[in-house]
Amino acid sequence: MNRKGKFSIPTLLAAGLTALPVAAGVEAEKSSESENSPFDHMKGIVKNIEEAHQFTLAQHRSHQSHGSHVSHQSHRSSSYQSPSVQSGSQATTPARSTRNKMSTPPNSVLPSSPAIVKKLKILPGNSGKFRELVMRTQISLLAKGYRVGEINGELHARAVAALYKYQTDTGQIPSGKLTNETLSSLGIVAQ
Amino acid sequence: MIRLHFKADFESCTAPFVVKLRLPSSVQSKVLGKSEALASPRPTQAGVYDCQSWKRNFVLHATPGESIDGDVLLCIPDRSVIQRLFRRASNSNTLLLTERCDQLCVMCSQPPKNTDDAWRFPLYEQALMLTDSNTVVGVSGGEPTLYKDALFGMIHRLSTYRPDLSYHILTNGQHFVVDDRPILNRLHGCTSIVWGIPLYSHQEETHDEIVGKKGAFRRVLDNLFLLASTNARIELRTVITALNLFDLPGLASFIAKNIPFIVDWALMGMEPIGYARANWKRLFFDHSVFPQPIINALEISALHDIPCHLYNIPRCTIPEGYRRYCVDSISDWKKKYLTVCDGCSERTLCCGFFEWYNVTTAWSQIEPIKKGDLTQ
Repeated sequence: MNRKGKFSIPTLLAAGLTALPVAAGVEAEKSSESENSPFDHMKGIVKNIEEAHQFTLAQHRSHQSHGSHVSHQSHRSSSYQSPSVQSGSQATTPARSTRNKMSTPPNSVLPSSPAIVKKLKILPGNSGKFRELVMRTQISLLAKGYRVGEINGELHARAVAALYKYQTDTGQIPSGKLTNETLSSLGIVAQ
Repeated sequence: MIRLHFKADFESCTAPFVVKLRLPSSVQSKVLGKSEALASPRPTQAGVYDCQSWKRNFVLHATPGESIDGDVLLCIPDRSVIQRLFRRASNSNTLLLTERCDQLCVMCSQPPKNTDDAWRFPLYEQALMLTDSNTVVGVSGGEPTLYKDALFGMIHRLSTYRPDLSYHILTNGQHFVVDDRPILNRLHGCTSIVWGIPLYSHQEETHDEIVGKKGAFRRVLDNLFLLASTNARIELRTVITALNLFDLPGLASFIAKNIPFIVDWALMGMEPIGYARANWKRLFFDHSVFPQPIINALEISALHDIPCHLYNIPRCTIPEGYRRYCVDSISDWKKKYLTVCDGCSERTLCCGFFEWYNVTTAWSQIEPIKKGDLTQ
């Protein structure tokens, strides 16, 4: 049962969020340099931690994202029905203010450029490092008041349930999976 | 637990044979059929019967107090063993056609053995002729369609004499070919057959990984369409493991989109025996704590009008609103209830637990459902 080579996160990669592992201080300079990049409007949500990830975690499979989106359909539809949907004149400007940020994050719907995508090393689910990450996630979820069950570095049902709850509460796609996005929001760096 | 095998002492016979047991109290006339045996209980020993049939006599050591009247038995004198093929008191009678299989599923409850089972087929056919009317015959394995010619032939011949029988055949769907279409068409025209076919994920790699066979996913999909083109009634079966739990919503959409012609989609709990018990730690996921993927799958199926049920899953492990999907599915001979089940108001509706269910390795939230929950 070799699950190696199946871990990667398409959405973050696609938007180039995890592009360059620059240190926290360098980020400001970098944003001024690449002023003309089509992804400028994304800068606001790029967190330092996300840049520091050296591994990707979630499984990368062709249909994987569908499963997690499904539970989310109600949110999406509500964002489409909102009266403040951008008009034609706004179409060229970033739609950040009108999007429902509680819903699918923008990085998953924006086009990707192969040039900007940096391949992150994939962290196999059975590695010690992965267990360590899971354990740190469990601890930090516990600190936030979630019931995570046993802290053992395993994604057991209780841990997944807590993860799901946390993802729902913070407006991420609730998938119950450990993603880079979730790690970032918990302040954990995958390295 | 109801025993499916009895010990027996045979007199002067070696070849296996099939008989239907009759107790003297239930026999109206003194005339018995050629394949019937009169079982007279010994007054001194409980559970021991002296059986007399047309040619053969044997002594049967049954469980005291268990009803054996009308049971169809496969007697194997070589091994001094009697196998209960059909029990009158049961609603789940399954023929184990063969123990061979070409897939090695990680959660197989009945790991394949490389035995030669061909000698059983004619005996099974005789046994089917002796069954009570309107029996639903489960056919399982192993992989029954490894001997598909024998299987199709048997069902086809029986359809003439026993049109009342209906079949539920569990197969991995790997062995149908286009040339089978005429016979399948004919069978589906004259008999009621439900094909139980497993599909574990909508993703090729996951399905192939679970069944331990490359290319199984594509094959099973091809054959689902082949079967559908012959008017087959198909029940998709998905065993829930930690490997495919997160695929369930995706699988539900996949089914709605691509295989909506199924008559039922069974989401099944693992049976903690065989490989499942060996791999339990890796495969088990406590859905009583995190039922979200299952619920999503059920909702998607409901949305697309795909009939969907939860098999082998106790009602208390599923949130209230979704308990109506649970089916009392565990066969009577391997079903048990726990001590906590005593106060449960839904015990009669619940599938209970497998006989080999171990409290330490399972769902953390098992509690009796209070009365009044039923109304909600």
